[in-house]
Amino acid sequence: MKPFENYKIEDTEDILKKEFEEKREAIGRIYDIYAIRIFRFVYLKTSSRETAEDLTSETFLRCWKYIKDKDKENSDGNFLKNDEAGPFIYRIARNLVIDFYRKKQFITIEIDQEVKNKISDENQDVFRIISLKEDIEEIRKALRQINDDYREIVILRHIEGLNTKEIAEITKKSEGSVRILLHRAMKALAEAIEERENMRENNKELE
Amino acid sequence: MTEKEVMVKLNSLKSIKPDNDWLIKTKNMVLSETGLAGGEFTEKTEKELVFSKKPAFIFDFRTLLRSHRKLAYAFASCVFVLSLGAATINASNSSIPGESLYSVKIAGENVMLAVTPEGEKAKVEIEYAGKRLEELAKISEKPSTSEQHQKVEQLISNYDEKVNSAKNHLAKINSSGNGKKAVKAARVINTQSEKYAKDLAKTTDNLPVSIKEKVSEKVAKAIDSTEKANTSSLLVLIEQKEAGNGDEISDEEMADKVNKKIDKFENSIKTTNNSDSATISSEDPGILENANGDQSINPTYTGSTEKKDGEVSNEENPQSADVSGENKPLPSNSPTEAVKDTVDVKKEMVERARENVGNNQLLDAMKIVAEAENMQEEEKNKQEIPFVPVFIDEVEGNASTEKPAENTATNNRSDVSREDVKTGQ
Repeated sequence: MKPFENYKIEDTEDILKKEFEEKREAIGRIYDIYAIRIFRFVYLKTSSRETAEDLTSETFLRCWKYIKDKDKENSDGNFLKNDEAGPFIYRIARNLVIDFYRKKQFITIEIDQEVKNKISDENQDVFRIISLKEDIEEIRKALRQINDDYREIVILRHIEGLNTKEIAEITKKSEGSVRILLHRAMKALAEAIEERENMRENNKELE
Repeated sequence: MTEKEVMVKLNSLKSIKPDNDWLIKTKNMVLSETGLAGGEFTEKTEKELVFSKKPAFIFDFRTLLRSHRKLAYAFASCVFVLSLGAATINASNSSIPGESLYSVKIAGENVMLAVTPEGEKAKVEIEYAGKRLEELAKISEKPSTSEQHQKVEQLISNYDEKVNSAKNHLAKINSSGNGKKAVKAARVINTQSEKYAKDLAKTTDNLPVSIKEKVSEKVAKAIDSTEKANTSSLLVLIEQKEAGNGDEISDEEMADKVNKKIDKFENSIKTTNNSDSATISSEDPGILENANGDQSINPTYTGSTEKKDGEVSNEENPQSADVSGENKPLPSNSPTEAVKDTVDVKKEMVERARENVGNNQLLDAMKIVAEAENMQEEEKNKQEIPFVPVFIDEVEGNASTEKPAENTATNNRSDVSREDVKTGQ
């Protein structure tokens, strides 16, 4: 640290710039880690890819706003504590989805048929689009059948891979509730899957 | 439906991903929000699409390269074509190292590879290997300079790399279960590798002597890689044919190929006690004692020394010099014998392979050949460790006259071993 007299105005600018750069970097990193996850999360909740895209970008913009105004408080010099960023981002996304449904300004387009490129086994990760194969569709629909809270918890736990504590943070519930909910949710989902399977078989018989 | 089963089903949903283009666009959008003065953020309702504001498109190539390598290359290729024009890319096709367009050519190849699906990679790689050989031929016609030496080395290394890469990709395709693709790729590699082995030998033979000597080792390695790729391709072809996928090749044709391969290998075992050993023996009487015209002077070879079409590669020279360096101080015959043993072993393997072909057991035959090739490689690798003979004390006045210049096969290693011999005394 230089003695006060030796600081020049340019120095201050540099410091501010540096901090700003770090913030930019931070949001960039957060995006890299969470973009796909948030998209998936929102998509499974809303069944609309367009909505998912909109809400996902909205999520990160809000996250940026938070970071922009935040001063570095943490000891390790991050704008969000290491274990904070995940739940934080999910919370934003979740709230956005809630608002979204409340306002009901959406167009639901079931994008089942949209398969731009087949996910071949030849590692085409340049063009990885959602491939809505039949069984993926099935489980997704079954997932839609159970109630919202159940669905959310199943998504967070078994698709996003978050633990009880994180889920509790995101959903603002107690860990105990989360566990009970999870148990019931899985039961409900299992029932929904079986129900759908039975229906499909019945339909086949009718043909 | 147990919970576990449900979990398994849920797993499939993990594959849901957003559109890659959108992903990148959005990232840029978010970042550009940050780049605006103070990062103005205006609250937007869900209705107002975020894209209504048109920020500057900041293209973050570095991050793109890190996270989405292939897409980055795809973008790069677009930029290339747009900025240089298709004509340039085509013009670069005939360029060789040293010319300014060469980097364009290579960059184009890398982009191509990046976006080629796995099933086609083998073919593309072997094609590019061929290009390296073309370039090598062109370069060798130019006057000899020190730069040229570097470029020649570089080209040979790159060729080696590509051939090995092609071989590996072939293995991947083969194990991926797509039999037809594997057969296609294997055929290409098979024909090309045979062609390349000849071309490589011919081209390197035409190199100016000074360069030839320096790159002989690399050339040997490159020829080996080519032969191995050839072997791999044959194995794949036979395998797939037995699985019912290789109907384009008749049984006779297949057997014929295997026979040719066995013959080639046999020729490579045959040690050359021709001019090389003569040179050595004239310089060093010590050798003659052990030699007795014994073929084991040059027990290991570097490449097919005598190909069916009469091409003699010059890689055998360094090897024989090597071996002579090793054998020289040894009074006892034990290494020579050991070496002779491996020759016998290999000859036996050749016989067994031929038998197998006779019984129409092509796969077994090929496997033996592959094994034998590996053996040879191992022997050679052992040789590459400068051999400091233990028995040196007993040998006096041996290898005293160093005539590295005369020995056409001068190769660093042989010099080293002779040095060791000398100092060991």
